[in-house]
Amino acid sequence: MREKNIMLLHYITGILILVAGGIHLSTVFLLSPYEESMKFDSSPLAVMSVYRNVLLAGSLEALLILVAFHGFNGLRVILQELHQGKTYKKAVSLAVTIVALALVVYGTRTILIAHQLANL
Amino acid sequence: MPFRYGLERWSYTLQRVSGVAITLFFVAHIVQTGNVVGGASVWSIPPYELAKKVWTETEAFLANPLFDLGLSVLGFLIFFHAFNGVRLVLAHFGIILKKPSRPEYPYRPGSMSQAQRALFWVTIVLAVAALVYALDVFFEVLRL
Repeated sequence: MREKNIMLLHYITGILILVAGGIHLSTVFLLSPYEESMKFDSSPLAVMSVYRNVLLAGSLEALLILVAFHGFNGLRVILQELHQGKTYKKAVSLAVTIVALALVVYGTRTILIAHQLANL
Repeated sequence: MPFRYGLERWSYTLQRVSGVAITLFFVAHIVQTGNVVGGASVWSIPPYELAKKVWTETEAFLANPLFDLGLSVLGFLIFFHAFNGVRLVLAHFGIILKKPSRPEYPYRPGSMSQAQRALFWVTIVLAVAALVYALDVFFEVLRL
């Protein structure tokens, strides 16, 4: 992808994170007291209650993918500005992509299993 | 520390430092929340009691004033990064920027118009508010 399109995607994901992150922070802090949100279950917005709800679990999945892209693209931009070189550039891009993908896979596993576990 | 430079350099430095900090937190957070289903070795639906036990242990490990303080600072960084990011997107598309002009004394950059400076300080206020709110949630100082 051309750098211009990547940067546009960086901005779009940034704006979308405002929405998905806003939902995430609201469920943890605003819509229920923090101690209640941190309980495993047995509270309307406890950990398992959030994963049980398809929309909330889906918004977490969206947040996971958005932050993985936005965060690691940001890291890539910083690292590629610190030092120049064709091999270095490729190595940074590859490393950042692998770590971001690994996090998305692991996080998706958590969300999928937690959603099924909560709905047993 | 960008002491010899203007506001835009502070904005730039804080944006990058906060971005890296939030990304590092994100990695730790994904690893930590992996424990709601019982940890990294669980790849199919685990017994409910196992998941609950691992999560409770994780929470007990994280119930530490240092982690709470870290999360509060992170609240500041997240709010700064989010709202400063909105300002940067606006600036990138030429909204609320000054018209391009020749550099003339005192060389105020057109990228930092009055509105942009105001937005920067609004961002700082929101970030401080997030910090105070987070400290109150974790340490129950003001009990807002």
